[in-house]
Amino acid sequence: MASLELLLAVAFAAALLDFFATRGYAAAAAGIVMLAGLLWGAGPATPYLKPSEFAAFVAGVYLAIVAYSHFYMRGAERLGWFWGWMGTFFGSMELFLLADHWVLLLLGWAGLDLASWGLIMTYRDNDEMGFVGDGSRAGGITWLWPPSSSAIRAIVTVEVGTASLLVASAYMAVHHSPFISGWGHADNVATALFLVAAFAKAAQLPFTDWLLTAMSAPTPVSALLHSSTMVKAGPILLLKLGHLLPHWAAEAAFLVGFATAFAGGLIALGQREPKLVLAASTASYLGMITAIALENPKEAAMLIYAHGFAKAALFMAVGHGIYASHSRFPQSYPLIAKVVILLGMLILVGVLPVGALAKSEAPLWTVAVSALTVGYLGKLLRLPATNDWEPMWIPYTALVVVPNFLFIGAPPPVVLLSLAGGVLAFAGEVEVLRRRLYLPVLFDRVVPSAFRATWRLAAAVDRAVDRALQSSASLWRLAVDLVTVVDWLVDAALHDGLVSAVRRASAQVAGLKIEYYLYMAGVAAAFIIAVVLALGIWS
Amino acid sequence: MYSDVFLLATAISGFIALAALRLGLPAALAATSAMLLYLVPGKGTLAVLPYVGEVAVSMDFYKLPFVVTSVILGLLVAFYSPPYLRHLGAPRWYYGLHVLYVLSFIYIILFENLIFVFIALELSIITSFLLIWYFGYGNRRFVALLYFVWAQVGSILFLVGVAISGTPTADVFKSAGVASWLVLLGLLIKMGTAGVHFWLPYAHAEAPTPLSALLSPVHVGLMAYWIWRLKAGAGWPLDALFLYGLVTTVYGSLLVFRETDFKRALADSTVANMGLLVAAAAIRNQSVSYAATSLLFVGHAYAKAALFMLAGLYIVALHTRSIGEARWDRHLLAVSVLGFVALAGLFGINLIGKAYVAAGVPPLLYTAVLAVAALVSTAVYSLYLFNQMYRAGEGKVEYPAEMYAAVLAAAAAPYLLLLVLPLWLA
Repeated sequence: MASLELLLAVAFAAALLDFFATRGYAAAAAGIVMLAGLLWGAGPATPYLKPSEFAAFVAGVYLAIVAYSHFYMRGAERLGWFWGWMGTFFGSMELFLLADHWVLLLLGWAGLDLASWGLIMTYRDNDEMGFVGDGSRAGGITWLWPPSSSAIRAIVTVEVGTASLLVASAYMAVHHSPFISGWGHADNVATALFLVAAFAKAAQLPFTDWLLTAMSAPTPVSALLHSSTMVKAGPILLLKLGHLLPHWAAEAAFLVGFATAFAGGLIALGQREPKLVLAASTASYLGMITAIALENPKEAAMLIYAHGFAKAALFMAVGHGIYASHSRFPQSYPLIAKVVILLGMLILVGVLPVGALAKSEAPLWTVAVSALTVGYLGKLLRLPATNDWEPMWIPYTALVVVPNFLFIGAPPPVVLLSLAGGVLAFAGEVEVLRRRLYLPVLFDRVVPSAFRATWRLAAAVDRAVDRALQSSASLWRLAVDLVTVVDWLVDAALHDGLVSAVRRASAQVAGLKIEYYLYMAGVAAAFIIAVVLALGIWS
Repeated sequence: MYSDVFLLATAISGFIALAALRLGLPAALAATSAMLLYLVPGKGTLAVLPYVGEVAVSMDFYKLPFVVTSVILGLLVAFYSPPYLRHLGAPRWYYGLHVLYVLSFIYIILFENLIFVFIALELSIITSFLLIWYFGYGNRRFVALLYFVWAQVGSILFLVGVAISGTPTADVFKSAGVASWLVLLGLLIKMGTAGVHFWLPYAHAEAPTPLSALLSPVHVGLMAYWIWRLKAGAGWPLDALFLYGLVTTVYGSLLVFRETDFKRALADSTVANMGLLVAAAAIRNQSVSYAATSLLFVGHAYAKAALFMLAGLYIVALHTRSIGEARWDRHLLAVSVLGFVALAGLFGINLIGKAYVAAGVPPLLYTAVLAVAALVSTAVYSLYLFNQMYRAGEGKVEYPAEMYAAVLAAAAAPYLLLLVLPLWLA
């Protein structure tokens, strides 16, 4: 039997192969091998991995999206880039799910960041299909993001979470065990860092807006990123570690998730681009999952499945409309796409079996979030239908149909109330919602301005000290000059002044008539002797 | 006996290095390849000298990543250099100094006697000083002197500290008070950490690019090995040193944003990465500290060398140092992604190195916040630089194949080395 290690190796090898071959066949093969292996019961061959209930789900959704991509990306440029990063995305998510060693967990988590960054840049910056926004001006910024801007927004935001996860998991590895299954209770600092990691990855407030501009990526990427990889890693991290976190973590997760669930739903109502509607919807549903992940993990897991199937299908259905109309703002959708949007909506609100099972224990407030869902998806359903049967409909239709036979539940009657949200589909446009609660102003104006001021300050301080140090070179020269002068003086005194003085003294001495002085000295001596003798005789 | 191996390797590589002064590239490649002989594990004594003590050399598992990286990058850079040196109009004797410079890296690590480590540092300073003096950019003689003076101050402080300590043998190194601080200050000046970094952006940016591709990635980072090695007996305040490393990382990262010059931006980024290395080397847990130091050193060395070589490729191909003018084709885009992602610590062994640095963070809120800021800041500046380059736009660029091959090999290394991670961390 294949081991999990082998399956992961196949996934990453396929990514590399596709990068060079540019065909995407290896991606399909890797998806099939992974799904078959997991369903066959592949287990870990080393202690570094551990089975995950989500692994087969991710492989199944990936396989459907790969099949869809073969149609959607036909004729697109940079296919090697696209398939290489898609495979990396898939392999990284599986690695994150299966990891039981902290280093592997980080590699999987970081691989998701990296792959999403690469995939968001699939379209060139001058390709209109990669833009997000309509180019209008509001709040001091231009509401248009090319792929490279979207990519850096995404990765810089999620990197805050990744750095937090690095610090928290390293702490746990050092103080408990390198194996996640051996970790003990997390202290408050580690808990706070784990929460930040999960919130940033799951696009929870205030880290929401990167998810919307990530729509610069081709639609299959959005389908994968929003359904089963990347953002789902946030709540899945909470599910992995929930039993280690103190009670206040559940309260914090609830508050942030609750706020994001409503904020995301309201933002979705205000969007014109259908992919942005779905992106805001993802933030909303991840808010719902985050809010209950630590209190009711089983319910959260079922929501992850239901939302994953529905959201992947919704993106692909909307993408079908974009593909058919060659516009980011399709004014009609293929009939089958509209049917799938309807089925996806019914899964999300909990009417169809897989959604009903997920909503069976959901708290009452989630009905209000579902009502918003009916409102914003209803806006898409109001657009006219076209008769386009490009085979790309098969994989996404399968995703909203098949799971209903695998996960069966009866809808709680209360969820039917959410259908009343359909009236919101006829509501007018609210500027503050269209402007995404002006969160982009925070990320594109406020934070960059503050950051610019910070690095300019650092650069100014650095330049001032540097100049001061360089000007000390003139002090050095002054010191050298001073020493030179003193040295000259001493030199002059020693080698010139003294020698001259000796020479002068010598010349003076040499100029005297020595014999005259000797005669005078002899006379003086004779005089002194004579006086001494005379005094002696006298006494 | 390892001393025999050491002397043999020194005789061969030294002799061929001298030959390289006349013969150029082939001799340089042969001499650098001969340095692989040093990798034979073992320990030996070359001599016992009065006042200096036992002059021992050793090669062990802990030194392996530092020495192997020095040799491989020495080879890659030599292989990369000919088109660049033709562009500069440099004579063949450049290669001789290049080999002696690489040899000095090996000596810095292999010597167990710290006074001889100082001598190795001197060899590295003199060779690199001459290369900057003769082949640098701009006001190269000023920059060469600036570099020489700062590097000498660092080395001499290290020497004086070692001398005062009275224990020049690394295994038994013990110091306190002034001696301890002098050794640390000397090493930090050589690394170019915040406050003593002012020479680094000049020297690393204005050096001839093949030299920059060794100076910034290898030379300065080797000091982290000695901080890691000596900290047990040095009595340094390790928690403070760790935090200082993180502050340096944030500070250096901020400086990158002031640059439009590709090489200066990379030089500033070295300040940031030296901060991470200091933090890594200052972790109390010696095995975690080693993992962090060695992974970050090697990961940074390959990524930074790749990016400096890429900057040099643009100098040769487009005659520009401005990152905003660096056009790319898909091959150049590929190496840019590999290089900048590794430098950012987003993946590859650099990511694991950052994770091990994180393992040293004291469990306090403010230290955790500082650590997150440091880890994010290196990623942000790298992505910023990549974005600058990406937005410069796609275009046709003609460049020598050997330059590209060297860049690609260095850029891919941080990812390929993930395959040996289990052995490395065992």
